[in-house]
Amino acid sequence: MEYCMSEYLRMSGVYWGLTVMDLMGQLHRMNKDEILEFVKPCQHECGGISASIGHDPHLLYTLSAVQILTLYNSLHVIDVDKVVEYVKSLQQPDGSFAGDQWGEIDTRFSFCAVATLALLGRLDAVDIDKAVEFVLSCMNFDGGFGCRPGSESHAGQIYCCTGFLAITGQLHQVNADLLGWWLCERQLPSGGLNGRPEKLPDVCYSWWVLASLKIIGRLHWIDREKLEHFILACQDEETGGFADRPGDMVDPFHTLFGIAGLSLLGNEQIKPVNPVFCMPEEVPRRINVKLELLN
Amino acid sequence: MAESEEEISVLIERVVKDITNAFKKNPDIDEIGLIPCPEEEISVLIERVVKDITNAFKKNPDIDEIGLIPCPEARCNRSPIVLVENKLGIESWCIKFLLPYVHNKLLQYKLRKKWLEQDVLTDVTRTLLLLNPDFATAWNVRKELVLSGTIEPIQDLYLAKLALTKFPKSPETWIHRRWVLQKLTQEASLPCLVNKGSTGVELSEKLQQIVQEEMKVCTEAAGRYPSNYNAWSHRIWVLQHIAKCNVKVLLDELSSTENWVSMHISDHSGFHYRQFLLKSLLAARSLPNNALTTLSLLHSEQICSLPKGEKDFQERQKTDMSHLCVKELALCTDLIETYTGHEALWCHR
Repeated sequence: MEYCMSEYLRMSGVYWGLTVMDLMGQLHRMNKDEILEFVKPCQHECGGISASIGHDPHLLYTLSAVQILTLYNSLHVIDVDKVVEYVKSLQQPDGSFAGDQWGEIDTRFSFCAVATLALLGRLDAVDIDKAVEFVLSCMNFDGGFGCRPGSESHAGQIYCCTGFLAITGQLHQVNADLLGWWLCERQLPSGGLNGRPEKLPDVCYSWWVLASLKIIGRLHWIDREKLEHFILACQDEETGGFADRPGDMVDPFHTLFGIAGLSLLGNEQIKPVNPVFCMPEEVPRRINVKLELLN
Repeated sequence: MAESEEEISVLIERVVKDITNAFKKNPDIDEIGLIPCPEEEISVLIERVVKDITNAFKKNPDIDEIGLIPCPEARCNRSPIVLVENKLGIESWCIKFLLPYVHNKLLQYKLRKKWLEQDVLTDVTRTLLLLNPDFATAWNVRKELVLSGTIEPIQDLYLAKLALTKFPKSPETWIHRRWVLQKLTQEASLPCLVNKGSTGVELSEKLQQIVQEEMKVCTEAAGRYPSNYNAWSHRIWVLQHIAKCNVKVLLDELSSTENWVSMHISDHSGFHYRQFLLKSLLAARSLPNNALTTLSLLHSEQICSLPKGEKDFQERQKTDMSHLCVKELALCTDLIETYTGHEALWCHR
């Protein structure tokens, strides 16, 4: 039943599991063939990829699928040209991206679009200038970004937008000091990070916030020791997985972001993680994806 | 899950007992065999449950809340669907049978393995979404049903509203809501703006109703989950795309949310919303029609003629805006003094 309940995001779930295994150098313990067999039929005629067989295609799961195939160096399993066509078809006149044919606009989808294309080496397929224009229109007075113009700043959206700007080479448009301040204000006395003022800390924000700080070159503005302490406290001693905060139920999502966060903090048991793609650094490097972060 | 283990062991104990009793009853049993039928029985049970849900809605079109009733065991032959006044409850024991079954039924349809009639699709998706409203594909099936005229847009606004009573954050529900609203307001026959003469441009009555309903849904969802980003960003979307930042609506919202934020001072989203309202009012200031509305609403005296001279006009506008800002600052100060140590209030300043 739980499997049913979460099937709508299965492709992302697979990506979280594989990535965290790879970060720990354990990717070989996963069943590559089975996974490739799962991904292939999820590509639809329009080129988009769905979370699972029979579900509808969407940019979110298209990115997750491309990330999975990139990890496994197996992009040939799908029709890459069709993926590019699909992403291209979702760009709107104002530069924004819809998540799928039904038209919802969100800066998350701008990130998914360019991240997908960057991994495929096909950023030229969309109007990057217009895309940048839209994302910048979502910048708020506090330096942060929301899901649409006028929306509240949110750490998750900030991660997507700074990642987007890193991929499109537009990080100079960010007010790094202002945004950096907002981001490091997310650190609470417990050492954990939240996503917005007055919210509870959550291990996944250790990723969204930390990665954003890394991208804009302000990682040192965080108290690293306290954060590491918080993340480790979120690990469950029995299962080894991570929960959103100490004592809660673990899941693959928080496990990935806990490990990825620790990697950014310099933990030597974990491979260095790429802060934009949330994959082992060696992977985008292997396929020559150029990224310039701020210092 | 502890529940299911208990359930299964109770079931198995009963089966073992049944076998024992069968032998006691008939000591001459000379053959045993497997009767292939359990799947059919379960499917009959589940079809009945889905029908019960459909009938509940037919019986009471005013259901305004759904919930799970923690109930680990079936009570012999009683339906797990419980309708009490306007609340629809589903006993938890049936979920583990119900959900996978309807889930697979929908996927079989999507994979073109088994055709389903439109009314069946309607019932199946409704059942699914009341249990798992983040199942985007199910919402998309309903989008197709709306497009084909099988479902009225307003039905899905209702279904989404119900889902939000139990899952107030559900991103896919809010996304579907936006799609339905766009469909609803795109109809060519729907009048948008009405020029009301001295009070300026207002939304048509139909549009006002739609906007008011959205504000209500957002308020309820915001109350169910602290700092509900999705509810508030939806609220902003509605003002931007449905109400088109109409000044009267913005002003109404400013006054109607004042009380709410005073009661939810840690709710950063609530305060951000007021920032959005003020900013939008500022932007609207440059439009003559809207300015007239602002003026007339802030000063209750009748305006018989246009303000004389540009300078005069702009002065009045500035006063109105700064009047609003002063009010906002006063509200902020008051709240900060009353409730110390709330970050959201200081951010708002």
